[in-house]
Amino acid sequence: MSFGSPYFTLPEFTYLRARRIEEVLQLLEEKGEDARLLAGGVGLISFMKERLVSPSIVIDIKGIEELRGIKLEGSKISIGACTTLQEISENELIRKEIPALHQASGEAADIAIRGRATIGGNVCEAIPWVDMPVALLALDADIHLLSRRGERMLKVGNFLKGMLETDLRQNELVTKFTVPTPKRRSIFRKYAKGSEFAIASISICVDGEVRVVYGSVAPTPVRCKEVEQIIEREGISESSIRKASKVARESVECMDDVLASSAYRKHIVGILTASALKEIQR
Amino acid sequence: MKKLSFNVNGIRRNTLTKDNELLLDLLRERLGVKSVKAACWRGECGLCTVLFDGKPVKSCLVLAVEAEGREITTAEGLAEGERLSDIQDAFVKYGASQCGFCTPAFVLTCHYIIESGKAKTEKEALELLNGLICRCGTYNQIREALASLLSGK
Ligand SMILES: Cc1cc2nc3c(=O)[nH]c(=O)nc-3n(C[C@H](O)[C@H](O)[C@H](O)COP(=O)(O)OP(=O)(O)OC[C@H]3O[C@@H](n4cnc5c(N)ncnc54)[C@H](O)[C@@H]3O)c2cc1C
Repeated sequence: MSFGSPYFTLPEFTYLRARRIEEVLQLLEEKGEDARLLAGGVGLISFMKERLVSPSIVIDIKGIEELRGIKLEGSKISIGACTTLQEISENELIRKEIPALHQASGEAADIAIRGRATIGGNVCEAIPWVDMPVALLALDADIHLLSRRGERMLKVGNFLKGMLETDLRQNELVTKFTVPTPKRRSIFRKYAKGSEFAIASISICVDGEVRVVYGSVAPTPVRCKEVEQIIEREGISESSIRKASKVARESVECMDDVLASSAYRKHIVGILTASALKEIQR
Repeated sequence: MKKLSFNVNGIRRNTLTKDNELLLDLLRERLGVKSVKAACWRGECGLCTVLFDGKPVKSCLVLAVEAEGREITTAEGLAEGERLSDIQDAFVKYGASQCGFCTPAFVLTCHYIIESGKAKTEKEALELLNGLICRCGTYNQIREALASLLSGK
């Protein structure tokens, strides 16, 4: 993917504003490959400028009420696919119950982008440098997909397949994400210059099973079992933090790209591991 | 072509748009709203920022058709006649103009920060400016202008 010199125009397409979920599913069923969903548009419009996608139909789903909002559903917290990152970062339930998601959404991009960008788009875009998937993986969240043929649910980690690759089928819509609680002992931290994409990020959850996930280091977020085992075995202490930081640096495979070299990323991974563990211990 | 009807700085605009037109192009090239600057075209520099129903958006990442029925505010819309808005006054008072190219975007974003009450401290307010990349000669004066309104001085 280049993201090189800017194109000033978009390919031609027909814009449709959907009001109901059923309408979207019908259109997806009929138009297949030719149709693309537009939520915040931050990703899709950029991709269309780069001619990475040229749909003939663009279906705007952000006005569909059922796809928005944050709710407690039994012991899970559900987040509608079209909820914006800004709405997530300002939500009290999220702030209190899922700190990792509060932090990931509140520090993404900048105020103008956060007000448009949705959690659904952030995950479906499937680029390596975004923040929400990293937290969602650490939180063991589920993604809910709907088509005219039925509903399915899978772990966000199984949904993301690679660079620009997901398990989303052509006729499917993401309706929401659910996070099982408790998740109060969770954290998200990243290293980025200003509002640029993260060079590396980390999300840790130690409520229940320990999960340690790194972002922006590989095409999709990666768990580090070696670090998880250290924390499972020894808890969080000065010595386990030192060990975890070293092990992370050694075992997390990091990519080279325009943002940073692999060696630099490994260095950052070590630092993020230590600082995130220290903070979560408090 | 689609019919499009929306407000720019409180004035109803009725026009035709193609589905693939960017809000940036419509405002700047066709409606002549020149405070909206075109620079990076990819949502990175922030200079095409406008307020969309009162909230900042980067107009190079918004379709013109998405503005149907909405209220767009640009730097031209902040003053009431000859009376400058508080943030415009503060920019003048502190000499916060930089070279001028990014000024409309900074003024609008600072206006939003003040009006929305989203920032309690100067640090929080400055973080909300991080989508605007310009940091030339008078960035410190922008900080001062913004801070002067935060503390209600
Ligand atoms: C300058 C800049 C800086 C950025 N910095 C950050 C950052 O620091 N952190 C970060 O996380 N991100 C960052 N981003 C990325 C941005 O957050 C994402 O592009 C955005 O979240 C995508 O969401 P959207 O709602 O705009 O998606 P859209 O552009 O509307 O859609 C993106 C893709 O997802 C599909 N899609 C959207 N919603 C659904 C759904 N409900 N069901 C099925 N498919 C769907 C669309 O069809 C499309 O293919 C940055 C982007 C820019 C331009």
